[in-house]
Amino acid sequence: MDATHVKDRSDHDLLAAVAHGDRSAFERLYHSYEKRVFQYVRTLVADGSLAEEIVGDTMLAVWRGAGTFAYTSRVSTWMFGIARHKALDALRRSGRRQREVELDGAAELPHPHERPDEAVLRNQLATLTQRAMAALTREHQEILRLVFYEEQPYEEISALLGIPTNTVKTRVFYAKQRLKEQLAHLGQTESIR
Amino acid sequence: MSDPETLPAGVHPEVELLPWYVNGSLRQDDRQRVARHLESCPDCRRELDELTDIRRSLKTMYDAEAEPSARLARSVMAQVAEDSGRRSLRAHDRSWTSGLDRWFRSLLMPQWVPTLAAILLVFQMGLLVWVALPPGERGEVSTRSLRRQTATIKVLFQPSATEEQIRSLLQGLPARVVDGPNAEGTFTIEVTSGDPSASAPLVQLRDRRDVVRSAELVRP
Repeated sequence: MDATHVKDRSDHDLLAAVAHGDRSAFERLYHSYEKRVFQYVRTLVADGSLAEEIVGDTMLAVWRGAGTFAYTSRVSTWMFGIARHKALDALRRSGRRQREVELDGAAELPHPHERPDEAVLRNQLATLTQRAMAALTREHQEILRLVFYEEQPYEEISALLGIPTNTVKTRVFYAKQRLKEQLAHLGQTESIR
Repeated sequence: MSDPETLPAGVHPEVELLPWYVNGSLRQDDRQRVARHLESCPDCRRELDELTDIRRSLKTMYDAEAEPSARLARSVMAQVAEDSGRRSLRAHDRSWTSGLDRWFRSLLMPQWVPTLAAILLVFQMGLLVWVALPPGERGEVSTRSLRRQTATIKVLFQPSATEEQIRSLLQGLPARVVDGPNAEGTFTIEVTSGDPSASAPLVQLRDRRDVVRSAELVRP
């Protein structure tokens, strides 16, 4: 049994306790997912304060609706699904369209036990990646995050986004192509400077 | 602009699975298939290296991204605490009413039905017997619907009898004047008696010759 399965089971146990009104279980689940859900929502709405509002609503929906979870998917898929629904709903209500990803706040936190030159390189790489990602469509940003950061299986992504698994696979392929192009373009621009 | 639904020509189908090979969520059989393919395909190994670099860059980028404010957690926890309090109150209300509900429902359980039916029958029988009993046998309690049994007697008093003597006699029976005197000076009185012939009151009346000249039972 790998770490992902252990985490899935632990999340399922926590959610079952939340369904019975266990507040300490909810706090553990909250702190385990708060940042991930927040960043995922910010990928969709590109607005920090709106993202916080949506995360708050999502977490309360998890607290109130834990009993409705069907245990047929990962808890993370279920929570991201709620957050995604709320984010798209907020976008529809406010009439907003895709915005550029905010560039502030990234690549600021130093890693422990890291040499100064490594930290500089890491910051440069993060900034470059962030700028390349910002040039992608919301769908491409979202799917790259789900695959490479959330490490979701394609079946779960298919359920979350409501698209066939083949579409998930091809979307990741083309998103990676666009990101590679953007990185190459930014790399050339940086070298010209 | 939406993506094509298929990979470009010449791209190996295993490439589709490489992102999940990199993130470690591929099923065992697919994982083995991709691993076998990678051993003999330099193009796909290059693709794998690019995906691995992208994964590392994205992880670095997202790890460094801003976190939500501490205010968010406090606000959510406060609402959860409030919710939890309301939930407990509702649960308490539900437990009280559901306890009462359970008690009533237990009375309707099949094993109790004959007992309840028997109790109901006994109660109805008792009610019928009580209603049918004569008033005297039920003590002083009288029903609303049944009248006491009475007899009517026509009495002619002595002309010399005083009003006080007559009243004293009637109270002693007991009896009350319901009509009279008629043209012949006869009074109609009603006496309470279980005996329809009213023999005892008649004897008492006739014995008082100083007050009563004649006393005759009126047949209904």
